[in-house]
Amino acid sequence: MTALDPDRSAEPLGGVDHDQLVSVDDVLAGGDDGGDDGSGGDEHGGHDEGLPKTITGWLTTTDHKALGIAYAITSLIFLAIGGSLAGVIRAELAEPGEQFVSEQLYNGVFTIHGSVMVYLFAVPFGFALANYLVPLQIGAPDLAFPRLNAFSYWLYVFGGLIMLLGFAADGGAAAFGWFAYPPLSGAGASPGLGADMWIVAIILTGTSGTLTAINVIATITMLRAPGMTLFRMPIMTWNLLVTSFMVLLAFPVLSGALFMLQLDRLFGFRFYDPTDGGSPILWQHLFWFFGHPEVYIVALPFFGVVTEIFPVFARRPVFGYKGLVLATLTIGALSTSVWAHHMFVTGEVLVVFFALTSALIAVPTGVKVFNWIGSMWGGSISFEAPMKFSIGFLVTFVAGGVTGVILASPTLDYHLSDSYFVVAHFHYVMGGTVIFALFAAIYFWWPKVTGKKLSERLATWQFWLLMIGFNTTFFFMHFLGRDGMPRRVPDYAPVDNFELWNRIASFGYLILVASVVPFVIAIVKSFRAPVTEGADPWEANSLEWATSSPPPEHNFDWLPPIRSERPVFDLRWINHDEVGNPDVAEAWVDREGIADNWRPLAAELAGDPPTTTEGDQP
Amino acid sequence: MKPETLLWAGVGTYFTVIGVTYMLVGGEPIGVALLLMATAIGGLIAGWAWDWGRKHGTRAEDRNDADVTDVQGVVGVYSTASLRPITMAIGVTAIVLGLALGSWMTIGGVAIVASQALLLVYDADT
Repeated sequence: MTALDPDRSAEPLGGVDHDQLVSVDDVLAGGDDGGDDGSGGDEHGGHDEGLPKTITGWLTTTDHKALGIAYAITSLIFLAIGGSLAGVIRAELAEPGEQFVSEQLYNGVFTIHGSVMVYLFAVPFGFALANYLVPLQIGAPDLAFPRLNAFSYWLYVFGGLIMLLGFAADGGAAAFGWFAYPPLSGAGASPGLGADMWIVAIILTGTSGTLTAINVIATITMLRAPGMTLFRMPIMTWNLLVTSFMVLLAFPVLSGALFMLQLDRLFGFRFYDPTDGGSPILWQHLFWFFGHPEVYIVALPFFGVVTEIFPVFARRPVFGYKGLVLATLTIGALSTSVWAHHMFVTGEVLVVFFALTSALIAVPTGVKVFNWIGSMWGGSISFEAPMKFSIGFLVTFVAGGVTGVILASPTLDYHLSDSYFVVAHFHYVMGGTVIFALFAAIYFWWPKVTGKKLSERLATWQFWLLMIGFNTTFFFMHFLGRDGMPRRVPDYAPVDNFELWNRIASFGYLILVASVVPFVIAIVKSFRAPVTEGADPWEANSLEWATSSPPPEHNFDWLPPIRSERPVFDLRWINHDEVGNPDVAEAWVDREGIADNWRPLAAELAGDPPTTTEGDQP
Repeated sequence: MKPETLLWAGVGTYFTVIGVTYMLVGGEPIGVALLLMATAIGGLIAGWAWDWGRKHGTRAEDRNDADVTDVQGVVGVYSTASLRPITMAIGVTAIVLGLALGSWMTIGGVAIVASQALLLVYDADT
């Protein structure tokens, strides 16, 4: 087997012939026509998947899958915009001196770059995953509040547009960095309309996020399918639940802080004005009480992505399911208690308390890394695109985590704070891990969304270009920071190899841009290709693979019994007690006679040969 | 609903413990207030889940041996399309943007939100 031509029929299956495993497509085909010949139905997504077909339809849709797709496309557009702004930064820094943009414009560019990437790309892509996957993974027809979901999406879109329109405002876009410290972000230092528009944009996107979080929590609490207990939910859904709680905790604090900032700017309030009883440190506390959980709000959905992918491509159950849930909860809890490690250099915080909690968070994170490796250990691994990108995620995340431990140490942080070391650290943690896991998610769930697979060959090109480009761009920034180059400067002295490291980083950016090309080609090719994939093309585990690809309107015509955290695996192995879950076979027997839909599988249980269609042969 | 109640009660308890600890070790009042208010969010959801469970008993989704046949009937009514979300979002955007651009925009936004909230009533059965 090779990465480019995986042959699953060659997998060792404990002596079991692959043809003896139950195919979801056969069950769905039997269910569609209500007959027992296993050949009926639209096995390749010929049904109406319920996605809008007109512009009006997309503008008014409340369907969770349509909105999930809309979130994903919108956030990828913002990724392209944020990436283009990064290109301006790297072009300016490729050489000492001012080449392309003025200092003021440079400030605006890096502010909007950071804001777009954090507020408009990384978090909303997590919402895309939540929108599309949560109902499918728990067996629900939609999110609990479909209109609220659409409302959240449009608030996000309008917020994003307002932020970008700031460039057209008198005085230019906001230019005080994505964490907007007063007094720099106050009316005195940043008087322009662009700054106000930035604040409005973040309030809107923050509100959007809060509403989405409420929706996800309500859905997971109230709309799980029978048998889908909390501890049978996929880790992905667990991660999105914890993420949603963190959003609920953090985003309103940010929105409140921004309203206070706007009141200071527009109406002469004094919340952050130290000359009149206010305090800029108040802003820093409020911002980072949002800002540090934000790191995990960005990361946790992508932790969920790779936790879904590793077991599938290692043909192993996830290692330590409950440990992973506990680690997720612990990360969620601790991440809200570490905020002031971003404020060590203010000298106004309890250094020991926050150094301790910051170091502690490495423990549950380490548990996750251990469990991911454990899930692969001893498995029959194949390196299809989702697995490649997931391993890329693991590498960049561990690298970013290690430098995070360095920054959690106050002694080192005093030296490294506000240097390019910090830039390198968070681009590894929030950039590389998100990008790699994002593409892992796209390659993994693309067949579910479209009924087609993306090109493995192009994915391999993209993976290696991304891996080389990402590390070339960001690795050497550690050296820049260590040697004292401050972040957010458009110019630097040609000393201590600053010129060399910056030039390498700018060259790496070009490779990063090149890595997008194979992906775009793969997408275009996929759109032109026919639907070929069935319900479960990866032979995966969780419930979304039990419905057709793409799923029908309101998701499920049929549900398998749910007796573990991997109901589709249990279904596939239902005829083999030594591997499958015997409780599932019992549930099938209980179903027999209730409805015609269950006949195909019941026939298999009675010992008839499995009905496998030709198209499903490996 | 018992697992959900315990989960959110645990969240609330954590924030009580960490908030009090932070206060005792000399943490500044902003952080203490934020952490203790986080207790309320966890407690709010825990309280709601507990009350729901008390009134409705054990659900099929909380039982290990439940199957789809245990809960038959309409799962819920889900709209597939509505004009209200986008128009409400336009209204809310106008209200907030009006803070920067002028009260005329805020007033327009309030009008949009109010009208769309009324029209939302007609969406109820779609």
